[in-house]
Amino acid sequence: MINKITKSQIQISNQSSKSQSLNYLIFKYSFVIWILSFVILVFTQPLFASIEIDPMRLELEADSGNTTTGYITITNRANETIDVSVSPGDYRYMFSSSTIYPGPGKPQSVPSCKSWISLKPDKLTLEKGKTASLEYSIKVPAASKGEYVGAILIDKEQPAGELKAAKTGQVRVKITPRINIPVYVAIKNSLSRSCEIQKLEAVSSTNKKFVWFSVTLKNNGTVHIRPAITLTMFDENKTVANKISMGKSLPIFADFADSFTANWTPRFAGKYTAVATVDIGAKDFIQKSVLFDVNEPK
Amino acid sequence: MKARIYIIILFFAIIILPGECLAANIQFLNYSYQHNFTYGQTFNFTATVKNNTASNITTAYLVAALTNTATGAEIDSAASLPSTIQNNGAAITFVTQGWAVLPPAGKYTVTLIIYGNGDIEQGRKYGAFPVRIGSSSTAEKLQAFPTVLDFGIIPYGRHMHPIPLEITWDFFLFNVQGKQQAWYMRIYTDNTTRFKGIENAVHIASPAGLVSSDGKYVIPLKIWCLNFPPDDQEMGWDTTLSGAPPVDDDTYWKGPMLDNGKRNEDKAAWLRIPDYSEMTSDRGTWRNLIGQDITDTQYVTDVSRTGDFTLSSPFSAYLATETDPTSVKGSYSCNLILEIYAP
Repeated sequence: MINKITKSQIQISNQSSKSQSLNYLIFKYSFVIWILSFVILVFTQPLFASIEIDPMRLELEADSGNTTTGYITITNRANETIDVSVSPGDYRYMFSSSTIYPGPGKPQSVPSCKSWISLKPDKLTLEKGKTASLEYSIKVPAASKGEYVGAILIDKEQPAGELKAAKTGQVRVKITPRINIPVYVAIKNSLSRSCEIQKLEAVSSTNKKFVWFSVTLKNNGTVHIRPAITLTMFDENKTVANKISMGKSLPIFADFADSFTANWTPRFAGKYTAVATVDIGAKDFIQKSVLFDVNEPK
Repeated sequence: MKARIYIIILFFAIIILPGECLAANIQFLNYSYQHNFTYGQTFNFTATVKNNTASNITTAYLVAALTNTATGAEIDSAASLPSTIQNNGAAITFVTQGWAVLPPAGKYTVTLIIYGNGDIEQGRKYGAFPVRIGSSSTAEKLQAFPTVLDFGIIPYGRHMHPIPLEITWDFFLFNVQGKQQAWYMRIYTDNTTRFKGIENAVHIASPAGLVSSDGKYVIPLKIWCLNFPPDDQEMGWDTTLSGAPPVDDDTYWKGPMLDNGKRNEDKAAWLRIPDYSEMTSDRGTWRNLIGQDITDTQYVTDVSRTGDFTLSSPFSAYLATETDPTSVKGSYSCNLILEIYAP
């Protein structure tokens, strides 16, 4: 027992002297430790990449059998020199949940123009604050018609460090920030922008003064449209009771349709007329109206 | 003594009465404002109101108070021209007069306030849509830190890599009507050229995840960020306080248990990262981290009527892996792509 106590006392004494010497070392080299911490802190902070790209989207009209060229400017707004690589890519479709797809036998997507796109240069090193121009060429084959889509992918290249061949148990994830420029190519000789309001509905609630509107648009042209829809409600005296902007839609491709909805809570019961005005771009407008009643709540 | 008690009761009643009850003199009939601007553009708010009291409200004016959603800082517009709101029920429209100092870039909530004579508040309305002010309509910031995640040796079973991916972003794009353009930031691996799979395999595995150096095997990757479940009220895990949900709990890894004994996978917190080759035009195949899309109703709530599911920059995302008895020893890697996209 006495031996045990003695041993533990010795251990405590040893630990105490070790911790004292450690404290002394920390105190002695505190300035060096502070400098090292500062250096580590500064050099491991994220150096934020900020790229300015103009334009953000290419919507081109091209002749079949010809090559269309243009420039995209990329400006480095980051605090460091960055490496950027560019490549053609597939178009990323983004359909709304109310998209109505073309009927059976018709293509459910738009043909790709990825293979037509070439970029010069395909790698760029941009110093802080510098701007570079990237030349794109889109070589449209002869006998092309309708619309084609693709993308230009702009990747910020970051060194990953290769895995060592002889060593197992290495697991590494390289992160690549990517900005995507969608490309739309409409062939001039077959270009037609056309849209119809397939359906305009106004459904009044029987329990409260509430009306639900639905506007269904169908693209009858050969290229995509981005229609902007406005609903105007007129009362029995032809006075404007309300105006609802339903916004500008996602692209609606040829033969696709989409439905847009809105709600309205009128102040007074009565007979109303709703007029849907659709701006399909290039100063083309279409309109359709519907009559509806608003009843006093039961 | 009684008088003192009455005064105290009256005092507390005034304090307890909510601001909107006190300011019920004014009824907002309509209001409007543009939602998106680039810094340097001046802009105004319009509100049409009527007077519900028996007396006229003199020297009435409108002020729009913008509150920065990230910092909480408030900035007020220059007041509208003063006018009298008659007690005859006639509607009157006020328009603010620009800004003494333009609000800096950021996202703001909107409060429209009508003041009367003596600068006494007469009524207020909270705007249904935020105002966004971007530094430039073409500048984009997208950065992940660190640029490489070294997992070292992955332990057997489920494992969350303790170092989060810090994603800094700034994306600002609006259309000719001043409405926010739909956009997404999604994450995926691009392993199609690297992954070969096992020769003559009966089932071809998905290339999504970490690919072995010989291209034969994959270890799936999962991700979690604040936009994903759990909902603390529903599942009892407060993500803002406790961070990423535990990977060992099946409730968060596979989804909460349903009455029929199956798992509700839609409520799983840890979500699989797909490969580019698996994604289609169906948004269900994407792994979105943040975004904004008025046409996509899945993110629309009472407090987010525009379907805005952005997170303040920077935000953190955590990665996790799961190995099982069929996992093969070796070195694994992948290229994880963070893509910003607006059609």
